[in-house]
Amino acid sequence: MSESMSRRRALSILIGATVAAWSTAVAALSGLFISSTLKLGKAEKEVLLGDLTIYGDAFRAVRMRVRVDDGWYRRVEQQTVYIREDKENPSAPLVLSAKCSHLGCTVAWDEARGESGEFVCPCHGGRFGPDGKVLGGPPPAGLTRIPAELRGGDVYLRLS
Amino acid sequence: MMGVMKDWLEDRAGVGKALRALLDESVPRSTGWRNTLGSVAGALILGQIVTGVLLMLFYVPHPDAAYASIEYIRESLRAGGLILALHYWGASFIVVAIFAHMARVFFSGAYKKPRELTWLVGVGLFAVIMGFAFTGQLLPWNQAGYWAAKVGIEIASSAPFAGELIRQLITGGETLGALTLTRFYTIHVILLPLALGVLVPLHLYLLRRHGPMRPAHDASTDTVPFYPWQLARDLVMISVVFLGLIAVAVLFMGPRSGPVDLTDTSYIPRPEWFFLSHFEILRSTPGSLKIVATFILPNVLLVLLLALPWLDRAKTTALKDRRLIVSAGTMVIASIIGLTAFGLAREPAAESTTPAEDGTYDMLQAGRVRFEEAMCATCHRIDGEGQRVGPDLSSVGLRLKEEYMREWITNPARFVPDTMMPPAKLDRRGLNELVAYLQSLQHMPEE
Repeated sequence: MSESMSRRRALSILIGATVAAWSTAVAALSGLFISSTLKLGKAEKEVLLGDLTIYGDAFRAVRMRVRVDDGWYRRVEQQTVYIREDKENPSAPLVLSAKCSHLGCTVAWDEARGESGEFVCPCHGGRFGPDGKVLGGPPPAGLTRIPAELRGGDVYLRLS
Repeated sequence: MMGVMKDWLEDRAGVGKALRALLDESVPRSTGWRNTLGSVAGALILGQIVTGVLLMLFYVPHPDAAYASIEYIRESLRAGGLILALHYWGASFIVVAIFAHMARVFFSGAYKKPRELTWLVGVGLFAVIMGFAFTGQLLPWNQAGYWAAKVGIEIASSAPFAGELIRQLITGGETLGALTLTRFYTIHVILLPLALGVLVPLHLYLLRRHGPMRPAHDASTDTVPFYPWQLARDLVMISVVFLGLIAVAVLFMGPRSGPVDLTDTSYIPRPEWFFLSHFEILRSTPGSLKIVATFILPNVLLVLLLALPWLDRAKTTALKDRRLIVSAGTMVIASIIGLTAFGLAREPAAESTTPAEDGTYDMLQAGRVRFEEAMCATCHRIDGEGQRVGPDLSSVGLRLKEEYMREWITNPARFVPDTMMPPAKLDRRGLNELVAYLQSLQHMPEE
């Protein structure tokens, strides 16, 4: 009796272990497969924005072309940035990302607002000043300044 | 003949016996119209499966094709617009039915012992339905769906520590794109339906196991069979709701927004109405408390919902014994309804801007002009426009690397000495723009 009970017990452990082992194998294979396209390490990208003549002393929206590897599908995504002369540093322009720091919508530049213009987020009403700092609404931080570099008469942006 | 077949089925499968067991369930005599809400939600879900399968026959989950395939369904298929509208409004009807069903269960105290698990599985079903709504809105690949998904993904990735991992697991890669669309499609058409296939039978099994709850005001022990009276009530309610759904679908059809365009800053994104209460909270929460609005509040509400059967310690289901929990729940429900109404009434004018659109510098647009000015189309064809002397350029952006293209355009003879193609006379800016335009050409050539 006790021998048969311990055999039953051993067998039930074996059954449990077999199911667990196969489940682990399925989970591991799925995880391996799904994680193929994740890019958790930050990679830097350099983007050609245009030449020197695209900006002046007022903000201008520029469509930035970013190459995106979307699995097998390689595409060029157009994102908006705002560019103007940097009064403190004449050697490179001031470039602000149009991505709202709140929940990622694209802010619009409205010259008619405030004293010297404001960026306004169409989603939850965030407002930013010409320096990118938050003026009002829910955004937790200002607009990201994108490092820009002048080279051979062209403006290059370094995205991270 | 019929009798023989009936006997054969009865003998081999016990169909009649199973049917009688299903329909003759005794329910409290006080069971009535208020108990039809769950059946209504279930019927609406069946309706979504029917329209969903029909849409799947024609829909293509790819950024280049999704919008066009939906337009094809709407414009070219018989009753295509109606089926799209039924599927679109069906989602809203399900949200209302489930909300009403949950409110009924809450106020009647039907979640209390021994029906805690029925409630838990029901909350699971609620989460699955919201998952359907969230993944479904991206599929048409239009402005409304894209921005709703974008904001939703940002909300999900505001979770502490694992935020970036969550973002990439949802989007599938760097940004919201082709991988996100196939992912949402897979979740929408197979994973969530499978979850329904497990949770709905479980919900019904648990309902059968304990039966519908006898309300506090019913002191009797009288019962009646489910068939035919309660089934008839269910069917009347379901028919009325479906007639309402058809009326709404025919009257309003589906709302249309243009195809995804990341550069259109005049578009004002707004979520579906059933996310508006959260939208209002997101709007009015200051930046330093963002995590409260995006992560803590939704999760606390979910945990409270799950814990409800154990939070309510009252011995009976009577409202007068459950004053605290009922008033707390009423406040939550009233806030959700109030915030939704507030969101619906809000004019989007506050966010509309007067941007100097003409001033926008768009390399692609400028490049297209360069292409025309340089008369490239006298030899090259793009998407069916232009001559066929040189190669078709509709997909040149997929074939040629930027640097190679730049060299080729400035000095074609360097690559093919006897080429007919003249070198382009462009300054640096012009070349940048033309190459940017050509690089964006990634369509398969039309025949």
